[in-house]
Formats: sequence, structure tokens, C-alpha cells
Amino acid sequence: MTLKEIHHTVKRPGRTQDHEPVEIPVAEELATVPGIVKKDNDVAWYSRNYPIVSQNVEKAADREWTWTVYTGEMYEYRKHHDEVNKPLVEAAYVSGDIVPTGTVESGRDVTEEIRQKARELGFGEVGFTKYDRKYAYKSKKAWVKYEHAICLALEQDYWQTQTIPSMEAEFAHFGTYEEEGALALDLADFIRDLGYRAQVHSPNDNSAAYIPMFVEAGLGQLGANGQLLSPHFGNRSRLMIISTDAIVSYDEPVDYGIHKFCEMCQVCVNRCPGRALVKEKVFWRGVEKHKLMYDRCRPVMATYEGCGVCMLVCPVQRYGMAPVMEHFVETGEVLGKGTDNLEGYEIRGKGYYGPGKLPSFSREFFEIPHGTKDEWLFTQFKQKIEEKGKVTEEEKQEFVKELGDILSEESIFDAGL
Amino acid sequence: MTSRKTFQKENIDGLFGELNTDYKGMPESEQLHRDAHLAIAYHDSGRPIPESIDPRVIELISKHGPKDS
Repeated sequence: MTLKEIHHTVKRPGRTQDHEPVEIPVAEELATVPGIVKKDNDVAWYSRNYPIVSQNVEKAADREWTWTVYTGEMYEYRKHHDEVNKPLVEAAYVSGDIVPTGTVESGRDVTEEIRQKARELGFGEVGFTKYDRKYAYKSKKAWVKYEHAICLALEQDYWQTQTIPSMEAEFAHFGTYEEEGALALDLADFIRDLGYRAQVHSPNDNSAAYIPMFVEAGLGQLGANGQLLSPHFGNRSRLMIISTDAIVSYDEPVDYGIHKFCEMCQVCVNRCPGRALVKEKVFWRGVEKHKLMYDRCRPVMATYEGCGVCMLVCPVQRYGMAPVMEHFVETGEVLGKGTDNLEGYEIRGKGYYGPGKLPSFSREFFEIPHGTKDEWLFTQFKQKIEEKGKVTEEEKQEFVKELGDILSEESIFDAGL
Repeated sequence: MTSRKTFQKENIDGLFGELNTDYKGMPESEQLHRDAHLAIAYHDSGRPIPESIDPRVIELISKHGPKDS
């Protein structure tokens, strides 16, 4: 006898090819809409008038600042990752120009062949949808060549991720990106063997906000932590896209019951060390979502090995969507909520925080550079004038030199490699 | 939540400490970790632990779980 009425059941393939398919019961009171609540006219309006700017560009000043607060080990590891990753990002950037190696079989739909190959390579979630340019970054709109998006999620190591925040978890985080970047190049080769073009959108030089396309392809729904919650690993995956001109069929968005579940669960919101997550949803660029407070998140993330507590404490990440939704149907409760097992974490140098306990940080801890690097330089220069009333000739020259250095920095990659 | 005693940090550390000592680096290690977290969650919620959970994990749950006084 279950406590809750079941509205519908979602059937999905197993976590890997060796696993059985799963069935996810969605309780009556959790059902909303397939995908996400959005106002298409608003999404289009914002995209036309205020195209999305990559965080790597818009927040370049704090991106550079993060290197100054890394531990020695983290600093060296990030440098190593960037070196390993650079050839993958470069290869992805030009991948759309490579000519196909095979011959097209006229009119044949190759969706399932590509899906099968992607699963064989190890991608845990694979979905097909239109590459929606409304979510493309301003700097990448002209770069994107093909109309169909193959959405690919690669699972991050389970055990390492449960040690968040830690170097071990960062090895899993960045290691997954490195693996994924290489696997995508293989999948693109496979598509070219079928006679079609394939453009790899590197997971480290993203062309767009990817989550909306993953939601449209039915691979999950947007969680309160601002991350994609997919059936098997929740938010514990790394996302990327390959766009193609191959003949493919699109998948449909799915209602996994996540929107109402997150409203009720709130574990990530309550456990966020920086209090960066918010309880209430807002409409942001036409989409109804929990919008995180970036300035509360970034300092914790940069200082404490990527933080990731919002990933750690999500029950869907920890236990999988099927057990979590079954538990809700059976009991009306959130599996693991209120327990040390789900909610506990340690912050380096601060100690252990169980349910109901959060670390505290000084006001100064949250003071980080804002905007692009030139905007931040200008802000600092203006502050100097306001504080001192005037600046010296030497300070003026220093400002001009620094501005020149920033403006002459050139990279075709938003990741700044 | 029930009033049942739930796994505290020392229980969790003890269980995963033993799991890592015995199985770290072995092929089944990852599945055992998944099972252990799920089994703890079921234990803490007062629900029976499903048969799909590895018996080695069920043994560890009994050994390291909070003792009802």
C-alpha cells in the first residue's frame, strides 16, 4: 500500500549498457510539465536583445582571481588540467570543418546508431534535439554550424564525488571533462563515417547554456541547485553537445516530477555553505527557475576545492532518481533528508557540519572582483580617484598599460586557454 | 522522519572506513559504495533494506549502525 497516488511512470534505459532499464514513479502531487515552465516569447526576446554571455567572458575578473585563492595543490592540478585539456579544446574548435569519411545512405535515420555508439563509449545519457540558438553564447553564435544537437552526459565517479569538497572530488570533476572531451572526438569520427558532419562543443569551451537543450531532449529537469537532475546520477555528470547535419529524430521532454520535488526537498538550499541558493523560483530570461546568487557561491567554490556541496547533498545524485521517487510515493518523505549521511560535509580547516549546521564566513570573504577584466580594472581605478581625490601620473600610466595588456589578450576560446 | 536512531558521523566513518580498507581499488568497490549509501538511507528512514543491496553491505550496516539502547 503506497501513500501517494502515481501520476505517471517514466521508463529510462539503464545507467550503463550492463544495467537493466529503470522505472521512475512520479507522484500525483509532483507532476507539473514535461521539461520546464517557460515563456517562449520572453526567451526569444532576451536572446535577441541580450544574448547570453559566457560566464568565462562576463566574469573573467573573478575567474582570474580564483587562481589567487587556490591551495598550492589545487593550483598545480588546475595548471596540469589546462595543459592536458588544451589539445582537446583546440581539436573540438575546428571539428565542424572536417569532411565526412563515409557515404550517406539516402534518407536513413541514424539516431539509434549514434545513440548506441555513444552509450558504448560510456555516455550515460544521450538525447537528440534541435540546437537551440536562443541559448547560444554571444561569442559562439557564428561558430555553431549544424542544426541538430546530440546531448551527452558523462557520469562522474561515484565514490570520489561523495568526498566533496576535496581534491579527490576535483580529480573526478576535471578528470571527467578530460575523458569526455576525448570520447566526443571519437563519437564525431563515428558520425563522419556515417557520411555526416559533426561539430564537437567542448565541455570546457561551451557554446551555449546546455541544460535547456538537455531538458528538451528528455534527459532530466532543472534542479533547485541550478543543475540538471538526470535519472541515474542526478547532477553528478558533465555535459556537452555535438551538433550535426545527420538525419536524426528528436526526443521529447519528460516530467520527472523534479520541479515540485525540489520545492519540497530544499536540502541543497539549506546546506549551501555560502547561502547562495534560494528557496523561491523566479522567471529569469523567460524560464522559471531557482536562480543562484553568484557572489555567494564563487568565493566558497574557489577557496574550498570547487565546493560542490549542492551536488553532494542532492538525494537524486546520492541514491538515484528511481529510489528517491519510489520512497516519496511510499512515505511522502525525501529519502535521506535530515540525516548525516546525506547532509553532512567537512570544510577544510573549519570542521564537520551535520544537518542544521553551517559554516560562517566574514563579510570580506565574499568580496571578489566583478565583471570582465577591463571593467574590474576601471572599477578599481575609479575607486582610487574617489578615495584619494586624484591619481598620480604614474598611476595613470599604470592603468593605461594594464588596460592595453587586457585588451590585447587574444584567444578564440572562451575558456581563455 | 521517524524517531529511530540514524547513522551519525562516527557510524558513517566507521562503515566507509571498513569498506575502503577491504574493497578500495577492487571492481566491486563502486557498487558497494552506492549500496552502502542507499542502505543507510533506508535504515535511517525506518524502511526495510531491499534485497538488491549487497549482503556485505547489510553486514556492515549491522556492525556499524547506531545501537538502539
